[in-house]
Amino acid sequence: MSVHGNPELNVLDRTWSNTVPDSGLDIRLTDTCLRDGSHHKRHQFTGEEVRSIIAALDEAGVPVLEVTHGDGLGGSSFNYGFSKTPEQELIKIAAETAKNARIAFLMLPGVGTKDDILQAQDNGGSICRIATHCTEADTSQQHFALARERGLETVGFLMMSHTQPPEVLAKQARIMVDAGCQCVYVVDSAGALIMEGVGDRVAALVAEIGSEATVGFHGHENLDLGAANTVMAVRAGATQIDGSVRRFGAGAGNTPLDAFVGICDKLGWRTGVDFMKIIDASEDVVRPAMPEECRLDRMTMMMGYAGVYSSFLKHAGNAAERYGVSGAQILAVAGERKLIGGQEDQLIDIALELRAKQDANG
Amino acid sequence: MIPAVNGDEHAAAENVNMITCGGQATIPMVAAVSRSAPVSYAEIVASVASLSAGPGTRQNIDEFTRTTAKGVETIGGAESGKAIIILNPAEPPMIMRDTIFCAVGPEVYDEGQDAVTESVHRMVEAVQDYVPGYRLLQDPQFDPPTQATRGQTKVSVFIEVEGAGDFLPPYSGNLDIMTAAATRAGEGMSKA
Repeated sequence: MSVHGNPELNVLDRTWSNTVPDSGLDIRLTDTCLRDGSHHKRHQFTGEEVRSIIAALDEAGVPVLEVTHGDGLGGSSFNYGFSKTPEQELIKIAAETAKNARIAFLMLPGVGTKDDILQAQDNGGSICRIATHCTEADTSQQHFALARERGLETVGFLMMSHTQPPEVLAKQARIMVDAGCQCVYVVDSAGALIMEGVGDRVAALVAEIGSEATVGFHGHENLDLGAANTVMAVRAGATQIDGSVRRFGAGAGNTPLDAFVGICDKLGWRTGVDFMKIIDASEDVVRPAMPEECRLDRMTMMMGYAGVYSSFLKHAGNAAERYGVSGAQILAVAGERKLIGGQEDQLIDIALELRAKQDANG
Repeated sequence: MIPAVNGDEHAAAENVNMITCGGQATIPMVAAVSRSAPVSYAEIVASVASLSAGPGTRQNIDEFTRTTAKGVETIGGAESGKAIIILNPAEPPMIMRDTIFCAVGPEVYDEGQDAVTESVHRMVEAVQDYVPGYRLLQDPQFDPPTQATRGQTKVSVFIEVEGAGDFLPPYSGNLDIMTAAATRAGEGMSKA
């Protein structure tokens, strides 16, 4: 018996090379440790760290590298945390360092603006990724239009995809594609999706937009399923995949891109990434830039369990410490209140309410 | 224009522009802090129910953030401003919530908290005069100057805006505050 289970499951109908014939890739990988990892790093990346990580991942053959404040362009703020180094400077360093990889950047309508997109392009970013909550795709239309007009490659992110059924996500993906988006991602921001929950959503998007655009998947590890969920996504037809080397991302981190390259090698999916080189980069270059490993603990598991946006982790921790209440409880209430990405400010309000209750109960 | 902040200045004007709903709700708080202590930077986060944001807002979300940020500076009195807007689809729909963060001098942490708090409460009352559902959720919070606050005292103000529910549903305080502010502006101009 093969260690890969039923080999038929791993024969792919849709591959990246169907879309880009000379690419030689079955799936195209994007590393996002310099964007999603920005949350874990509390947005304190230095230019030197970005230069060394980009050089190592580029050398390993990762085709797309994302660099931005964790909350996208313009994210440096009281609400999300101020950047140590301006993100535009980091994008410029990344673009100057990468020999083969393309540099992607993220923007969230309502946080960043079109001006930020133009500046990122001037600094060498060539893939514009626009993220909305998964029911609010129509806030991204002006940004996709601009990005396409300026010749940027476009990607749309449907964040918190666990909150909506496949057919709703497919309609939202349609709005993005009609606006000029070339690839729509199912984004499991809370790390709350489980196996077929990913496959069904990806399949619905493929059915709706598959003839005009590609489909991607972005996972988190909060319930320890990042890599498994990502395998399900590829089998369902996703041809662009996000991960972060060593999981370096928000919450318990992202799908570990280094491990995922190994998984793809074993399943016979071509990624163009050298496994030996990426595990070296993970250990020798990425790990030293991480404040600590991304791990499963009470807080991060609660995020997956309660369906909470992964970047709330550090902010809930701060509020818990500041007001002497339980961080896990803050996250649980955030889930009950159905907070979505961007509402970090409300965590302080929740902490104050918990504190008042605690004081009233003596 | 925002009646509670600069209504009097424009009472004699022939025509006025009402700033965004997010601005109507938050800029009075920036003005309340800045009349008590100079604000070097202010940032507002407006969360509204998805159902209450029509196609106009959605197609022009950049215009919303830019105009509101500019209002934080010119009407609120902050040296520089930033605005963030979130559309939340939760069911039942959420009541409009806004958070206002202001950076004031490090000395305010030790000796200016009472004055800022008093000014915020006074401004809340002024807005409540024409928007009865305008509520302060918590007393203003003060965080000491650290690297994370760029060496400034951070003032955080949390508010909620519930609509009167006359024609529009109560959760859409963002819509109600516009009509209420416009009515108050019109009254002021007709008296002048």
